Amino acid sequence: MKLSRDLLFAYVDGELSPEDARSVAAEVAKDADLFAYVEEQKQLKERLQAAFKPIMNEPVPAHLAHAVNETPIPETKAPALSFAAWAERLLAKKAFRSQAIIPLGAMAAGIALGLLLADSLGMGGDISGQGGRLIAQGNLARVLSTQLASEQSEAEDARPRVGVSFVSRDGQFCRSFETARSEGTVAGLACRENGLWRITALASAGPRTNAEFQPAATGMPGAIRDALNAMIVGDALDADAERAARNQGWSAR
Amino acid sequence: MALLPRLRRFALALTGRANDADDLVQDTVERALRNLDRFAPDTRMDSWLFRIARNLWIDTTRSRNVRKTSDLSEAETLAHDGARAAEAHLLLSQTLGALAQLPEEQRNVVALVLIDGLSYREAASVLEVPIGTVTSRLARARDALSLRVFGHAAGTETLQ
Repeated sequence: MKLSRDLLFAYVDGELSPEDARSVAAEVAKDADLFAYVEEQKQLKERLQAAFKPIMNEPVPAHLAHAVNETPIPETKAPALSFAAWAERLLAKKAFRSQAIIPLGAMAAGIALGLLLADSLGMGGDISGQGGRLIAQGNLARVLSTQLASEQSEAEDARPRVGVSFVSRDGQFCRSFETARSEGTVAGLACRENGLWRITALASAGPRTNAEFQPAATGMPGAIRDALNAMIVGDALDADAERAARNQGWSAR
Repeated sequence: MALLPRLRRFALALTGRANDADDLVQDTVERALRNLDRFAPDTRMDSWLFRIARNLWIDTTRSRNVRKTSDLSEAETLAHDGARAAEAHLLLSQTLGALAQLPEEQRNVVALVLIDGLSYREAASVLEVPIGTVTSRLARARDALSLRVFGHAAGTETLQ
């Protein structure tokens, strides 16, 4: 392999395929000058990142959060969203006390808000925008596909849990989910569509009180419960029906 | 990693000043919220916000009658409040000083690739330039920064 500066930079920046990275590493290891050079470039990157670490660790200033909170959100774009709550959470990393809900439907605005909300709630890796839809991925997708509500273990912070499973007016299997964190809970609905879990509603709510047991449907944020009630046909699936639905891959009937 | 701290870091790297950075973050979020329906659902949210921030900053510097990068001296780069460790403060201050010496186009690339860790492709998408432009700007920036930090340009004489 012919080494060039560009190739070494690409190596340092993690741009190479694993195989190419291995052969560059092997070449670099043979030459003390090259090795020193690559180490220097890694160090430069580390120094830059270390220098900005204080910024990443400190809370975003309150004045920023307040000013942005006063920006009205166009109501046609996000009818049910409480912008103040969302922005406060996004900007100040404070507990989110009131509820915010992402409008249903495949609007770009809804997708953008959903992604921003998911990100601000630490669920950035669990939700992505694909083809004009919000799609569950990663941990959330896995839990939605495999976890039965009846077989859930004790709640662990920051892990998605399923609430109820039901059949929607469109004949799809849908499930409610939530991820509880110390600052609050993010909850939503996901429906099985073309082998993916499409997020149809997403909301945040204040911290859950652990004082008493709450049945799944009453513990969820009001906005999500309302969305669920508008979608559901019949009753929520019981344990047997849920298991049967899972075992056949949640494909619509 | 949450978007907002990353956006703030990007803004600080770009502007070199804490006040300018926070103004830029605020303007960016406001513009994003006003233009939610322009977000292309298949693109990345971080790229979108970074692009808005970068374009806003270009507008700002133009309207300020193009402040020369050399006007950003180390002494005035950062006046961050709070009781942060003096050492960390110094490192950040020095780093901002070094970044301020770079031409704007190189500073963008350094902020996106070396500091934020975006891929070349993602950085190219934020900056709306070909990937080759990202790599050539990055190489020049590395030379300049290496000269400052290590006392010599990036690379050995045997490498082209």
